[in-house]
Amino acid sequence: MASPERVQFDGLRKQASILLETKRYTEAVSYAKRALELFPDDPRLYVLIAYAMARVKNKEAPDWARKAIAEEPNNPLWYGALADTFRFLGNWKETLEPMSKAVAMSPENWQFQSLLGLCLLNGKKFDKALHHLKRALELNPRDPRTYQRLGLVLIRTRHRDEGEQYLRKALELAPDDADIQASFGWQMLLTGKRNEANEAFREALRLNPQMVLPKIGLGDPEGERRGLKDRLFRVSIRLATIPPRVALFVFHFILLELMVVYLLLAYVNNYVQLLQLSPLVIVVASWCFFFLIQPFIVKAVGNRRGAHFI
Amino acid sequence: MPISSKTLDLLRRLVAERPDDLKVRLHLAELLIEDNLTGEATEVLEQALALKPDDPAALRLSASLCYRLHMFEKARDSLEKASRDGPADPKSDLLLSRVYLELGKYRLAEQLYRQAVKGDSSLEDSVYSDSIRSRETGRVAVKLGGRDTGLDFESEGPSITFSDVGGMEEVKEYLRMNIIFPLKNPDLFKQYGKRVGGGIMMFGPPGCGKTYLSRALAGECKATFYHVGIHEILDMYLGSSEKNVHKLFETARRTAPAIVFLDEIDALGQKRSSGGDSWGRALRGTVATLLAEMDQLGTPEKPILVIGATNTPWAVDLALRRPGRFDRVVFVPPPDLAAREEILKLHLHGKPTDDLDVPRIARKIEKFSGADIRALVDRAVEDVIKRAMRSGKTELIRTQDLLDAADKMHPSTVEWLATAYDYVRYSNEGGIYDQVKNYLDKNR
Repeated sequence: MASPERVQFDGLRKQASILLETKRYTEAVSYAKRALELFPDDPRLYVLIAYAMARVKNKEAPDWARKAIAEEPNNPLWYGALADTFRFLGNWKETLEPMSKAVAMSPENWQFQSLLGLCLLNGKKFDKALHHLKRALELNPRDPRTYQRLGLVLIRTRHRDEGEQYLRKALELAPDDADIQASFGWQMLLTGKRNEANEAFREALRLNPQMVLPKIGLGDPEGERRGLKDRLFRVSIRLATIPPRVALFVFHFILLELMVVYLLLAYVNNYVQLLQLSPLVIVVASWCFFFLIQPFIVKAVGNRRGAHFI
Repeated sequence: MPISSKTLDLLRRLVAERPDDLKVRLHLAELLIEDNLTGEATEVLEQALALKPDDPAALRLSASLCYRLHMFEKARDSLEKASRDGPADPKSDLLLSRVYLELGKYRLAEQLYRQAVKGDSSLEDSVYSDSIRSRETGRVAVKLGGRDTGLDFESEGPSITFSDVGGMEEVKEYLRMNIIFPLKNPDLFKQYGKRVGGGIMMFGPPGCGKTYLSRALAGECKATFYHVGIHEILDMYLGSSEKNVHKLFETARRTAPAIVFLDEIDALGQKRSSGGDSWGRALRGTVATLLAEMDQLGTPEKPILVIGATNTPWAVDLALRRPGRFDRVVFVPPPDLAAREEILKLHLHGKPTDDLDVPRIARKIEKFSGADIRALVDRAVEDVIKRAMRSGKTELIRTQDLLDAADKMHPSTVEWLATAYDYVRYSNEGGIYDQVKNYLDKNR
C-alpha cells in the first residue's frame, strides 16, 4: 500500500497537471512545488514547472527543465522539454541543441523529428529541416503539423507549388487548426489568391480570435479600428504581398537609383532644365522608396504586434 | 517595549549612509512597526521593496504591516508572493491564515493554520483555532464515505438582494425576467412544460461582481447559496471528484430552492482543443457527473439553479453550453456609474473622509472593476497616511486624493475587453457575445 506521502504526492502532481492543462500556470507551479517538497527527485514535476513558467514567459523555465535532465540524463523527453521551453520563450536559436540531442537519443520518435524540423526552419537551416521533416513524415504520415512545416520549408526553398500541396494536405487533415489555416492563408496571399487567403484568415480567427498572423494578413487593426494608420497598413500589406513583388522590387530599386543619380547630377552641375523636372522626379523617387520599404513595415508592425514571421 | 528613539535615529542614519543595505532597512522597518510608527514603516518598506521587489523577508514584513493596517488583500498578495519565491515559513503561514480568516476564506485559513502548526508546533493557538471554527457558521461539511475529506461547500441563507447591488440595472433586469420570475412562478412554466431552474453561465472581466450578483440573486429567490470553487471540486484524491459533485447536488436538492455557484467553470469544462489528453482523462468523469446532475435539477416546486462563472467564456467547451446545460449566458460588465458610486461608498465606509464628490470620482474611473476600485481606495488611503505622518495629525481623505490615485491607475478590465472584442468580431457564433458587443458599442 502506498504511503500517505506518496498518495498526497500523486494527488498534488495530478492536480498540477490539470492546472497546467487548464492554463492556470501560477497555480500549477505552486502545486508542483508542493509535491516536490515531498519527493524532490521526480523529473516530471520539474518539467511541469518548466512548461508552466515558459507559458507565462518566465525566463527561469529552461532552468527547471535542466533540473529534470540532471535527475534523469538519459531520458530524451526532458531534452525535448528544454527545447520546448526555449521555443515558448521565442529563443529559437537555443532550441537546436537540446532538440538535436533528443532526436539523437530517440531517432524513431516522429514528434522529435518534426519539432527539430521546426527549430531548423526557424533557424533558416532549410536543407536540414527538410531532412528531419521528411523522416518525421515517414514515421507518421498522418501528422498535419509535419505537413505544414514541410510546406513552409518547401516554400522558403522556392518549391512553391509543392509547398502549397503540403499545406493543403495539412489543412485536409486538420481543418480546425488555426495555425495551419493562418500558414495557408499567407501562402495564398503571397501567390495572389486573395479571396482564398481571406477565407483562411477568417477561419483561423474564428478558431482563435487572438491570433496575430491572420489579423495582419487581413490588414486588421490590433484593437478597434483607429483610422488612417490602419488604412495605411492595409496598403502596406497589399503592396508587400503583390504576386510579382520580386520583379517589382527590382524595378523600383533600379528606378530609385536612377532618380537619385538624376537629382545628384542636376544639383551638382546646376542643369536648369533638369532641375525644372525635379518635382516629378522627387515624387517618383518617393513612390519607389515607399514601395521598397513596405515589406519592412509589414515585418516591423507584425513583430511589434507579436507575430513571428519565418 | 517601546524602542528607544536613539536606536531608531541610529538606524535612520545608517540607512541614509548605506541606502542599498536591505537588512538595515528591514531592521529599521521592524522596529518602527513594533513602535507603531506605521507611516514611516510603510515608507521604509516601500524603499526596501523598490531595492529588491521579490525579497521574501521584505514581503513578509510588508504583509504584517498591511495586516495591522487592515489592508488584507495587499497582505495576502505579499505573503503569496513571498511563499512563491522563498522557503516555507510556518510563521508566514500563520499570518496568511489570519489574513484569509479576515477575508472570509475559512477553509483556507484552517488549512494554513494546520500547515503552520505542523511546521512549528509552538505556533499552536487553541483560541485562534476556535475562532476559525466559530466563524464558519452556516458551513455545510460534506463527509464522504465516513471520512471527512476536508472538503466542504460553504452555504448561506439569503442575505443580500438586488437592492444591495448598486447600478447594473440591465443585468438585474435580465436576471429578473429569465431567472427570478420563472423560479417564483413555477406553475406557469409547468403548464407550458418548461423547466424551471437549470444552468446559466455568467461571464465578464475579473472582479466585476459575478459572485456578489449571484448571492444577491439567491437573496431575491430566497434560495440557499452554495459557493463552490474549482479546487473544492478537484479534490486532491482525484477519484472522489465525481463523488464531490454528486454530494454537492444532493445537499443542494435537500435544501432547495438553491443556487449552486460554480466558480471558474472554464477549468472544469475546458475546450477540448486547448486541453490535452491528460485533462480529458482526469476530468471526464467529473464533467460527466456534473452534466448528469444538471439533467435532474430538482422539481418545479424545489428548483435548483446552477450558475457557472468564468472570466474566459471562450475557453468553455461547447458541450457545456448545449440546451439544458449552461444554455443561458449573462454578461456581467464592469460596474456602471451608479455601481461605481456604490462600491466607492462601500470601500470608504468608516474611513475619515472629507465631503467627497463621489459622482465626480465615479465618472473618472470608468471601466474600473470592483477590485480596481478597492485598490484605488487603498492607494489613496496610503497617500493620506503618509500625509498624516508628516503633519502629525489625522488627515481626511479628499476627492483630490482619490482622483490623483485614479490618475496613477489603469482599469484592469481593458485587457479583458480587448480580448472579448476579438471574440465578438471573429468568433461570435450563435450570438454568445452579443451582450458584450452591445456593451462595447455603447462604451466605445
